[in-house]
Amino acid sequence: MLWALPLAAVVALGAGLAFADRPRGAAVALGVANVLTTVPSVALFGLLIPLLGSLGLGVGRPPAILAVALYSVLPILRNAIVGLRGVDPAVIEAARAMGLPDAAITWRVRLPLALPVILAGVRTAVVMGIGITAIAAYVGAGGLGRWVFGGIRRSYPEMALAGALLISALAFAGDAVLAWAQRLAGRRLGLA
Amino acid sequence: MIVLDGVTKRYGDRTIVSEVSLELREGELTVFLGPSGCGKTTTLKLINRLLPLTAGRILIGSQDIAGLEPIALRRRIGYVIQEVGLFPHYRIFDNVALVPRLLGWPREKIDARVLEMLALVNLPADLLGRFPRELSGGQRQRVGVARALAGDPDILLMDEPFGAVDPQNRTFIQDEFKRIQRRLGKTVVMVTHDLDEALRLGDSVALFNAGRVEQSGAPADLLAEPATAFVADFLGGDRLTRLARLRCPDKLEAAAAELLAHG
Repeated sequence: MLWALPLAAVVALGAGLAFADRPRGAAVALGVANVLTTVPSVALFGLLIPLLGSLGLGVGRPPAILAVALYSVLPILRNAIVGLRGVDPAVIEAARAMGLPDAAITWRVRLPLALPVILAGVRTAVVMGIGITAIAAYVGAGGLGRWVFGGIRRSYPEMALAGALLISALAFAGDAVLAWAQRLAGRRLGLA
Repeated sequence: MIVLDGVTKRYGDRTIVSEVSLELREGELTVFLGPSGCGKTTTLKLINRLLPLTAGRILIGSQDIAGLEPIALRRRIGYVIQEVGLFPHYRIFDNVALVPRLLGWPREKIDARVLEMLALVNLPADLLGRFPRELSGGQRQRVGVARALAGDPDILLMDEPFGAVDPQNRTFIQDEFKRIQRRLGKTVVMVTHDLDEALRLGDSVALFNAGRVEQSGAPADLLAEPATAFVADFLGGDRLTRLARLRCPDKLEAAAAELLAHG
């Protein structure tokens, strides 16, 4: 999860910046990300383990990280494209007319103004990622999911419950932290 | 002086601006007037190279802008649009300081310049720490003018700058702007579809229609002697009343005489 999210964020933001001004490219990128997200997580593990297995990375953390990253790309990418496209065209036109170079328009105008929307995507990705990370215990990636699966296997409901509650708490906490970051970004940027 | 020489802009096989040739005199306010879709805004955006030319040339002073670096060119040309386009995440100070910073001015000079610009557009200095959304529409438009002038450009391009200002304040802001322009001696190109605005503010008016300039000249000349039926029609049946309001009795008399002579 800790590895997967930055990986997904970098890929999704890069793609978002590349495709925000190209409707056709954006449609293709979103389509691909959509298909990836549609594949159920257990099935994705089923696909990734043999694939990574050929590289000697079959079970444990590598497939888990990759799976979570793949799932996280879609919400971040979608929000990056929506957010970047949503920036007031008058602001971008003014920026160009003032003589801001294109790179400065991206970094100093478009990305900051799209940030609250992008963070909303990261928030969705975090909550979803925590859920999938829990399932990843099934392929030997460890984590709190182990408690749930272990508890079920040993008919030890308290253990499963403890795992489930902790996972849920983690998801709630992640969601709350990012909701706060999102509001903070909006306020600091003078947008709300 | 800005010279437009055979300026043409095409998108595919659609011609938006067709062989426009004009001379815009230094220190004057030239209005590009015309109905929507007549090519006036496109022509404006060709001057600071927001759009590339298809054919023709534009000279500023004696330099062909095609040979200038677009970023550097834009930093010496102010730009004001109807939607203002202030950076919503920058405080007023930072919005006005934008171009001076890009030009690499020293800090003290920028601070002084921002204060000077705010005073010029009649805004109190305590707005400097606010964000644009905390200002009224009229205040934002003033900040837009302050931002455009902050880098001390010789030329100011304005696209319907007062179109979104409510009618009660519009005349006031127009007059105020005209005073500022006279005082600073900037060369201004202003796009509008508003005839009254063009006649009130323009030292010179270029009337566009379907990508061409139908007629250009002083407002009184257009009113007194419209060159084409389109011009006469655009200026309206009460053009002589408007001419009278411009207080040019001699031209009014000549036009009235002509009208009498031709029936």
